[in-house]
Amino acid sequence: MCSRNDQDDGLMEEKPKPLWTEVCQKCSAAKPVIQILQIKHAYCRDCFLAHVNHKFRSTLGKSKMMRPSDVVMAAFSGSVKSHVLLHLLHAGFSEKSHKRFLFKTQVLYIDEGAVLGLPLSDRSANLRLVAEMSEQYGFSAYFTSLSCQHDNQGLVCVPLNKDSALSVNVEFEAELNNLIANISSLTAKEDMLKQLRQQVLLRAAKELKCNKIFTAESSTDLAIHILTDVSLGRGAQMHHDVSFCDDRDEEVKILRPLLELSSKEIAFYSVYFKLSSVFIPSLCSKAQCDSSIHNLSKKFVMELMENFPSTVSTVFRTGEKLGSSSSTSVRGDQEDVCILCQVRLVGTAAPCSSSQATEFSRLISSLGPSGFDNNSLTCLPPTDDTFLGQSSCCGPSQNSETCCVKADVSGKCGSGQDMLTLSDVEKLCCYGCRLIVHDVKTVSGLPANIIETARIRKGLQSMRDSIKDFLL
Amino acid sequence: MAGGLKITLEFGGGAELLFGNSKKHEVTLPTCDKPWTIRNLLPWIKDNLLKERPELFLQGETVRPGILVLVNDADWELLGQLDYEIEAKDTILFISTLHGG
Ligand SMILES: [Zn+2]
Ligand SMILES: [Zn+2]
Repeated sequence: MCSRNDQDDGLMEEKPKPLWTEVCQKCSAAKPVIQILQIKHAYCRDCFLAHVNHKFRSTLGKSKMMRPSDVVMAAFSGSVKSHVLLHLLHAGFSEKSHKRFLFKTQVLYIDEGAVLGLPLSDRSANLRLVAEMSEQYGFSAYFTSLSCQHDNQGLVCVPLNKDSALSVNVEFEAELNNLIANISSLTAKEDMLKQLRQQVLLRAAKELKCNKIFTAESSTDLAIHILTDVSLGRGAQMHHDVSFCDDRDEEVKILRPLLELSSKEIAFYSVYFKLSSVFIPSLCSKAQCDSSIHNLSKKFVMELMENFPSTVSTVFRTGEKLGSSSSTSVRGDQEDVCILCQVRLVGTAAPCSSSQATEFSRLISSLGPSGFDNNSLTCLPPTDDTFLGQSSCCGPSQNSETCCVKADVSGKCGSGQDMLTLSDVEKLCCYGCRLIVHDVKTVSGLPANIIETARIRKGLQSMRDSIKDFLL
Repeated sequence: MAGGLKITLEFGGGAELLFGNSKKHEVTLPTCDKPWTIRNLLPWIKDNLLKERPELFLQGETVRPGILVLVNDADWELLGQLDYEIEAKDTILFISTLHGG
């Protein structure tokens, strides 16, 4: 698996001089139209399109993961690359006999307009465009809204066709907006949105009885993710975020069939097939490039592409290799995973770990120069204990008065919503998500199903704590 | 060459947002003693078409990394990039790969 394009592993190889070649280096007949950097070749249009199609099919093929019985949900945002994904899938279904894809495909569009503050008319117009685009391929399509995570029950997906109308649940959208508005930094906002999107995809896939999800990240996106993940303290879960298959969820796998194509190849493919796209701005579309860690990583990778193109695939392949050893970890029960991103919690707060350091510096800053003394240190979580296994339910945070005082009466801490504190939620999160939760101002802003899970897990934990003295 | 150089400029992938959300612009470049190249087209675009935030489109004398340039559907990297000499009726497409989704 790791032998993919290993021949050009040059670490900081400078950009090759443009190839002044008169003919395509594949068929030696037609005029070349694109320089493909990964393979340092100039291809003509036909050879290039065949190359993209081949990459897509070989990525799926060599994974040996696709079964004829699979039902795939293709995540479709209307963007260039997600349209390319649909086009390639459609091409796969139109192939003759033995080359035809046998699995089934449905399309899902998630309306995120609320978070971006788009007017309802724009969002409806986008929905219509997306419907038209997916309809031309004959896939059955559905749509849902990012705010559906605030709805604890009920179905979330609505069939999408050109007569579909956007129905907005004002209450849930207000909650979602509130959640995002409550997060102070753009970095944490983007990270939260990414986690929410992932959860909505998984939930929708289960509802639509799909066992696989296709998303449209290119190798360029994944190189950006790698740098972002590392900067956000998500190194442990990086392999889930950047490899072909994210199997964090037990029922639904998220696959990335475009990961061997660069954003350049994808853009050219869409130009040659005249694929339309809906531009839906993101939180940071027009923001300064240093406004968030994700934006900075993007700028860095784009400049690498420009000046040291082979380095991007080095970043990408390094990330992939880092994953292979840790991805073999055994799957634990649902209680050991982060409630936001479902990564397994390694739970070990080794002495001097970065989570300890963060905890410590937070404590110091919250106490101020005069409030700090020897006793303050005892408030820190014990070093050899897991964060999950902590016996106290309020942790070192300032919210303690809302919690334990009432809890002792029933012995079931966390039975009421007001008793769930942010630090409780934080304990159920991985290091990366803890940084998001730390940026959230109130518990009630979190999506309903996260609060629910947190409460259940906290209840279990305190039940375990209260009976542990009776156990031998 | 009376009347200047007539070309079509197209913007996509989100770059159109910086050009009043309009994807296609038919323009006439004024007659000039030097030949028009992409190098001197870019400042012209900045002065005449770009509606906001030039730093999101240009960086130094070239386009911002992540924005691809196609001349008549061909990669400008094969055409000499900034030094490409623009001809009448050329279609130059700027497509941004910078936004997520
Ligand atoms: Zn060829
Ligand atoms: Zn997490």
